Amino acid sequence: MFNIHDPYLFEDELAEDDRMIMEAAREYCQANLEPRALRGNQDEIFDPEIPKEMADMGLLGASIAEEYGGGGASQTAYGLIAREVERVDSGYRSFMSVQSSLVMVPIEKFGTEEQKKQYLPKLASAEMIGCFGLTEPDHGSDPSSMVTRAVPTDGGWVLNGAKTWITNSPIADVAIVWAKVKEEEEDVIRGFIVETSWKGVSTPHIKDKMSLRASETGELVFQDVFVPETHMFPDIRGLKGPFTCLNSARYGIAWGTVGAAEFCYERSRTYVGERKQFGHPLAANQLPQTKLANMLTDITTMQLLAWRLGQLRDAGKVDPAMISLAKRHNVGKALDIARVARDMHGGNGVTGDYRVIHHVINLESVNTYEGTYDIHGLILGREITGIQAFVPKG
Amino acid sequence: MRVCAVIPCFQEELRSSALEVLTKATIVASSSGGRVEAWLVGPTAEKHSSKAAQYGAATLRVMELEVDSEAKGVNVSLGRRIVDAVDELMTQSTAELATEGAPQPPSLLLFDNTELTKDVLGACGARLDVPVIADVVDLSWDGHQCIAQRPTYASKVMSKVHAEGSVILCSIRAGLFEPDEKPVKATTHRYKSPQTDLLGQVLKELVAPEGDTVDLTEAPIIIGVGRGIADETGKDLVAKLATLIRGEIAISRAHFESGMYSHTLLVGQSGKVVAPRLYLALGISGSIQHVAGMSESHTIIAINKDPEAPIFDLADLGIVGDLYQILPALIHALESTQA
Amino acid sequence: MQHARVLNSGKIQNEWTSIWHIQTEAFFLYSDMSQDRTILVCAKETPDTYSDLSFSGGSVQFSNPRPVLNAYDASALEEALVLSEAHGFRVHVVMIGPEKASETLRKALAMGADEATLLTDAPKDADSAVIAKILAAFVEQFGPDAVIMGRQSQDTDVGLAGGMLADHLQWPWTTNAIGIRFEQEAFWVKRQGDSAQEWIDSPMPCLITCSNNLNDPRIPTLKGIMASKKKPMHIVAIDSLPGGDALSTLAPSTTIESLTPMPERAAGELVEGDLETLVEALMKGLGSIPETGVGS
Repeated sequence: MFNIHDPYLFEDELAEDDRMIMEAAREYCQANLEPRALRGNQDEIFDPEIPKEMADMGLLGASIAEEYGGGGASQTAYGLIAREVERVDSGYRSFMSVQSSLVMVPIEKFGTEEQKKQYLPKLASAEMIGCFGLTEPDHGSDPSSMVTRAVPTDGGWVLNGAKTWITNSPIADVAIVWAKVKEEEEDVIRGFIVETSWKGVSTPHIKDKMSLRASETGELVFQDVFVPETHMFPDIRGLKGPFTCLNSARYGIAWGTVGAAEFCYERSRTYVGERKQFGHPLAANQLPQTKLANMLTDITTMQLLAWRLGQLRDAGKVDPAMISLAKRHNVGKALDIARVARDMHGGNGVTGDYRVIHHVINLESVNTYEGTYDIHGLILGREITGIQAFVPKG
Repeated sequence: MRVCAVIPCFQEELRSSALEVLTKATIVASSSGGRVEAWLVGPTAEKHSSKAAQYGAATLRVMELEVDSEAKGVNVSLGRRIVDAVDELMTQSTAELATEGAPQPPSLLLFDNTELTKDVLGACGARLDVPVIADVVDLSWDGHQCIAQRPTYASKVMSKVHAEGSVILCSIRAGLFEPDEKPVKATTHRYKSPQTDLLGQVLKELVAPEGDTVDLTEAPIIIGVGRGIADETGKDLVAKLATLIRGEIAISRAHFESGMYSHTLLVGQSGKVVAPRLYLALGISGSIQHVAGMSESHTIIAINKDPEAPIFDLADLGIVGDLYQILPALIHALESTQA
Repeated sequence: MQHARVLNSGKIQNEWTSIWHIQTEAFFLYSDMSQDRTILVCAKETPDTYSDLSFSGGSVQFSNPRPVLNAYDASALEEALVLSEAHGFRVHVVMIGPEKASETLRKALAMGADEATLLTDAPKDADSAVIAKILAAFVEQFGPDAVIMGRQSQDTDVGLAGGMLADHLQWPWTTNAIGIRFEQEAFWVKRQGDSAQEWIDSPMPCLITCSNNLNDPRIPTLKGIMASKKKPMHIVAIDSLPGGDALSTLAPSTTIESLTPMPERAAGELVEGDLETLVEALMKGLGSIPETGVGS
């Protein structure tokens, strides 16, 4: 029997643990997040109960080691969770991705034993909320030219600079901050764990955002902030640090957007089945049928890409360009699907009730953040041709 | 061959579900050439025997049971004794019929489908070690084989079930057969009730909130109240309307959780299954689980503000609008016609 | 005792079969339950009947291809877990089903049950009567202090197995529970009757069937799912139960001959418009039903 939600039956191929985690996440998201999604987006509410609920379900730091309060689950499981959360709202998934991939992953991978013990359990239980500071007002796709800088002082560092487009910053207790330091006359990017309650740290909220409205976004501003030596990651240097985190988050996005696309497809399928015009359901017409066929074909490629990428990550065989390929393809296709879904809903497509336009505008951000669609094209282009084209030759 | 309507008797009046079972018994008996028996069990068994004859039972087997007066209809006192009573009646009647020179007759035992019956039907089947088919909407029987239709998969699918044997038990869904008077001259047999060991169970308390003692499965007009009625103002409007159209109030799962109404009033797959003359659905969206409990209603009228609500797919009349505007206007209109 | 075993679509899952306690000999030893009282939850795997249904060649298919834990049994398990948290019962879940039902049974462990048994190789097309006889043999062997189960399964909606099982065991039973308390060494069960609620006090051992309005079953957490791998799941062939030879060849006394789509109610008139139009339509509708007294 042809399964119109999973045509190539990828869910059958999942390990039992992963499938159980997927189903539990789906149950939680549909029961607890879906009912909040419309108002959350419309009124820019990120319900402060959500982090605690996600923590109780074990969705924060799902693939972090159990000894630090994580779930000890596979990379595939982490991806499947992202898919279920983003089926509801990319904003909720953004919150979860940042906490798990951009905050807990670097602490687990680069942190000292003390740093791991101090922060990971509290981040897993949502006692602390984290954010990630890399992007700066004038340095987006080109983070290596960042101006945030830490200079040595007695017992630690003094941090100055500003970061922007920081998901979770207004509600964060802790920030992973990437800043330049001088080492043997060279500028090197190093990572710091900065608590937002420290003197000199401010986290202004970014107002009038038209996308990802159910997620908090802000800035991180550092004015002569003293960071103790114990809060620097000891060994990691250069962009490899932040890129390791971004690879993990981008991998989550490749999965998350599968959920968003599936939502839009499912809503469209239901809508054209129920909506009658000229005496027949819209679904009885050729145009809606082929639109749905296109959606499902694209969703199938998205599912299979994400699933295979998860296997590769679990097997430790992943190259960053593989993640670029999936992030770029899946977000692009999800955005196409959401736009077509909006169109298929006619006038109803612009109302909140059907929530397809909500996904369209969210996905506009997702297409841009964590490496834009075009930047990932350039990463792939460099791999294919051997020539980097980031720096214009004009 | 005999078709036996098993009737728990504990109220002043026989429940209409009992009359429906008797009516169905006469229909099955006439098509299969069997005789109709009524097995009247309970504290008011004697009292109801004549009524059973009026509805077509030529043989009345009456077993008066002593039960705690306060707890007449509850499972611990009456229900639990029904299993032993049915077992005893089966043994004794079979012996009687055998001494009259007849071979052991094939027997079809029909029950209603109330919570009282649901509680004991499985135990009766296990005790007699015979086939049981629960919650049927139609059946045929030829003395050996029984073919029954019963809704399954939350009433989305009709399942045709087959059973064979000299004794078969079936429960009949309420509200589907018009009770039909068919007076016959009946002979009455009386039996002494067996001792029932209640196995240490005790009824501690019977919680019957005021205005909540009605048995919804018996009500001809039911007003189903869903999420669309959200406060005391709405509840008052519903109560007024119920008086005006002689309706009983039922609830969907939304109000099981809201605490505004008694849990007894729940209709649905996990509550009562009803088939009234009219089901008036107020602010009920029509979830699968709720629909499973009322889709057999003769007429469904639904009021909901969402024109896409699934309840409209099965409503004979759908009204799209705000209950808080419609109900006051409707109550006013009803009051002026009745004044 | 620990060996690889074929599970789930023929794939070998070494990682987790290695911690399964598998024994198919005469019977099996459970974890130390000498000091704990035990609630046995009888559960069933059913199709996801709340997903979209379609007919194909006389058989029913659901849009969710994966089976689920029967919602009523999930409520029974939730209640057992709550009782366990308050009174220290051990919770054991038993399910009759094919080996691949282990994934559904594992959900019960992920929710918090301590231990589980999957009874495999049931007779073909087993009905409630067959199921009750098998469960009775298991319960007699196992000796729990209480059996808690769903009042019906969400697919067939039959609701007979509980009463049948209780009669086989000669245990006191209470059906359609909407509240359960454990006090003074007895179960106090609030049961939904036809027109009232009954608080019934049952001594141990007893059997309780649950409404799914009793509670909202917990969703397994990720930690619960990971921990469930370490909990014992016994896979036992029915013919190895006491009296198993007879049990494994029981013939069902009722059989399903066919499944057909329920005749759909045709949608009637949908009235939209101003208040006056709506009330007029309602008055006409109510007037057409004599029992309302509106038309007279």
